[in-house]
Amino acid sequence: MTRGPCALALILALLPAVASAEFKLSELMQLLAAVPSARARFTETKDMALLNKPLVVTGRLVYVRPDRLERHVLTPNEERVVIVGSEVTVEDRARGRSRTFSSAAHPALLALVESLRATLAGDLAALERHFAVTLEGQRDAWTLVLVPRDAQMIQAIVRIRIGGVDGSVRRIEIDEASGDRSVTSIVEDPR
Amino acid sequence: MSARERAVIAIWLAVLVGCGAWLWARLVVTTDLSAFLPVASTRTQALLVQQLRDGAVSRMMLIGIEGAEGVALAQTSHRLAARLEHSQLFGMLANGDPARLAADRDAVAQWRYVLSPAVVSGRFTAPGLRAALEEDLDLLASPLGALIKRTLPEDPTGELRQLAALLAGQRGPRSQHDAWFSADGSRALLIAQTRAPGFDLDAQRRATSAVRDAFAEVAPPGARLLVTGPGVFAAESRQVIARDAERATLITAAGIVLLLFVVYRAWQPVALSTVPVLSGLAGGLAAVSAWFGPVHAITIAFGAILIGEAVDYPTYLFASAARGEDLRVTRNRIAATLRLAFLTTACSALAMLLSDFRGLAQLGVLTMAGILAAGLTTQYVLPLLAPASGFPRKAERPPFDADRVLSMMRRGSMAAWVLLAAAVLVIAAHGDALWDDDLGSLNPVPMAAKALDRDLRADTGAPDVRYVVIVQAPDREQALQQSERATTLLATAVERGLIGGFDLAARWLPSRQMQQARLAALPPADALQARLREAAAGLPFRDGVFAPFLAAVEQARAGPLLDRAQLGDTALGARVDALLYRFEAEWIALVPLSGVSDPVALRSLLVPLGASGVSLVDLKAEADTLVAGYRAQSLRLIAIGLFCVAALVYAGTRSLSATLRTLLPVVAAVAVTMAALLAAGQRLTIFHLAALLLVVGVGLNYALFFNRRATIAGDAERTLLALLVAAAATLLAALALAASRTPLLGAIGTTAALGTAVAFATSAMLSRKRP
Repeated sequence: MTRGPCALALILALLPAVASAEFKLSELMQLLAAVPSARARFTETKDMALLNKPLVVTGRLVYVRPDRLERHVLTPNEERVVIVGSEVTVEDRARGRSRTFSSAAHPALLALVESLRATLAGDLAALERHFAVTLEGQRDAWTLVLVPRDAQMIQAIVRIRIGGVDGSVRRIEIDEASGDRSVTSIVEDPR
Repeated sequence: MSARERAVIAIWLAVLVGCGAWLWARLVVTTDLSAFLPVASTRTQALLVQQLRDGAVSRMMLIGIEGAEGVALAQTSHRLAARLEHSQLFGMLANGDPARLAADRDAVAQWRYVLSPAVVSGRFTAPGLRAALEEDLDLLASPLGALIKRTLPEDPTGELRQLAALLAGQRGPRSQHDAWFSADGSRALLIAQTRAPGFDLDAQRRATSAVRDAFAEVAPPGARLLVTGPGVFAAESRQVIARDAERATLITAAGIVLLLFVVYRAWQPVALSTVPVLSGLAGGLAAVSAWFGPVHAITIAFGAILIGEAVDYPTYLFASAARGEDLRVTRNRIAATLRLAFLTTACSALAMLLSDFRGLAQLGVLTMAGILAAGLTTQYVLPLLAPASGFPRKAERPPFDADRVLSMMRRGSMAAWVLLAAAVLVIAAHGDALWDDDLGSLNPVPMAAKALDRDLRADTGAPDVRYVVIVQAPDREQALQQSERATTLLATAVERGLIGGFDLAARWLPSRQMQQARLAALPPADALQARLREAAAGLPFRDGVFAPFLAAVEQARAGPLLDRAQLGDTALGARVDALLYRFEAEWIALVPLSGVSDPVALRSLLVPLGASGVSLVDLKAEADTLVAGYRAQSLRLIAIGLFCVAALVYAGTRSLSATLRTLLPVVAAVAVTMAALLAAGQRLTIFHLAALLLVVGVGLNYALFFNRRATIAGDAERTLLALLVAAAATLLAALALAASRTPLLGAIGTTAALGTAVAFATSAMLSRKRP
């Protein structure tokens, strides 16, 4: 009567190996949380029902742990967006104007800001507060799929997919409820 | 009983029955707090005081919920709001719930072309539209695109953005879980406006209980409700004042009956003592009611002190009677002193009676009429009601060696002078800090309630407005037009950094003239379409995407103008009501200013509009002059009152030294009481003055009786006994009032108690040595 305990011991011994074969959310978060800061160039292509051709926006992104994100748009029009925590400041250089919003008051904005900020910070708790989170792929080609939990948020944004390699984000796809879509590709640029 | 005596009794009974009948039929009790606000002497002050009484502000209720975690608080806030809405007692109701602001947003969206200051003709030309579309495109490229995308087809010129910025510019409380919260997140906040006016205290009480009841039904365990607002204050302080007054009166009455019984050990003199007291109360209240109409609850509470004072006169009479003496004989012996005593006391109330302060004038009439009635009843009626053989009595003298104690006190007369000198020094040292200039100190509302109000006000971000531009015009339209004209100058003031910002009714209800001008800037449909096509050339907007915009502009052009009715129960409607209202034959538009850095420059900037009814008012300065004016008047009246008292005493005694001997203890008592209050860190208000006048009244009695020449054996001891009983009765009444929860009644009580004690002691110290 020794087979039972032996089989159990075998299963227990194998468990970590099985788990490591699959890339886990917690591991991804650890990788992301280890990044103190990042600089990148981006190209965003926005498909909108309002427009007869996609709007292409290019510029630079700067991220500083834990919650500062800057987006400098260079084309089509120079503009700087600074996100610190839940505050979004938009500086329109061409018109010499600056406006500050609290994303908390605008569900659509909150979804955009929180999805990116919490992902970059590796803050799973914050992500799960606003989204149902699933992870696909493996460590060198992962995709995080975020579906808003909040009823108001989901009226604006249906799904956000964030793709990346190791600890860096390479691609953001946003599907809006209106059918509008935005795809951002990101290239690291440590300059 | 002689025919003359029968006539006296008949007259007394007739007057008493008359007073009683009047009170039965006509007595109306009011607790309108503004009776204790100064009566305004200028038109500006008048309209500010009126606004405090029944303006939109007076209908505001601030509600806080605390004692649970955030989500539960927010939930309670939403449920409470739903119940209150159902009660129909409230018009505007806001708690930060976006759904609750939907009506406001809809109104802004629907009326955007008459509301938006950006609607000018240049905006709707081809170049103007082109600039707007380019800006839209940039916004679409930014993360903010998500916010404007939905409304862009109907609003490419961004009027909604303009108005949203204006709305957001009015700092509200912070939002969390779709509810308003205090800055530290510990308290959920609601703002409600009762449909009933602020001075309708029964309606205000119903509204307050509706909030409490609804809260009790929806609150999670441990959660607490905080409610404040002018109406809540008024309703609750009425209850507190009524309870305090009732309690003080009961304690005083019971205490005095007990005291008298201990002294007389017989029910007859005790019962007879109540005759002048009741006559005084009836006469005093009837006089107040006849003179002023509604009698303030605080005046009635003051009646408790009147009991303590009025009972002095029968005490002087009964205690001065020798064993078995007919009271008519006793009366004749002390008549001169007794008459002088109640006349001087009545006279000391002159200062209050002549005050412009309605509340204070009521106290003055009550004291004067009440004391006169009590004194006259004691002098002329009481001796006739008592048995001719006098009362059987036990106590003839104080329970100690009166001679020794009195001569000891007289030896201490130096101490009285030292005390007086010290008091004068203390008062002089406080100089400017003598007076409490805060109008709020006159408000008979407990301190805790005031602190709560301050907290909730700070939480909701309701600014403490000090500077306000006031526009006066013959009708609503002109008031709006004038305030719009002022807006141009005020915008300049904002640019130059003179002020931080301003709010005005015309922002949410523009004048018809302004609305027509804005609508005139909108081109007809075909022209707009052509210009839009020209503007959009080369831009990536899809064809026909702006059809809702063309329709909305056409609808605005053809539609009616916005008036107050269309804003309904929205928060915007409530704001318009608070800032634009009818006052007598005029319309008043208020433009509260925030962050005023240079009032002088601002005033000169507004000079050009002075002729058209626009003026800058410093509310604090107005309030200060209001209070200072009253103080100056009160001091003047007190001086007149004291002079009359001095003249009376001199007329009664025909002796300068006797007059001085009578007045000095009173002056000392007033000075020492003032000094003691100041040393205890209090500042004096008009109510302390009222209490000090009372001290003058009773102090004169003490001094007069201490100095009365004894004519028969045992007279001096009996007089001292009378004085002790009288002082104890007054002290009892004052202490009962001092224990009340209403700060105003408490201040009167404490001051009167302190003053009575000092007046008694100094009167004894400075009294004439017996031959």
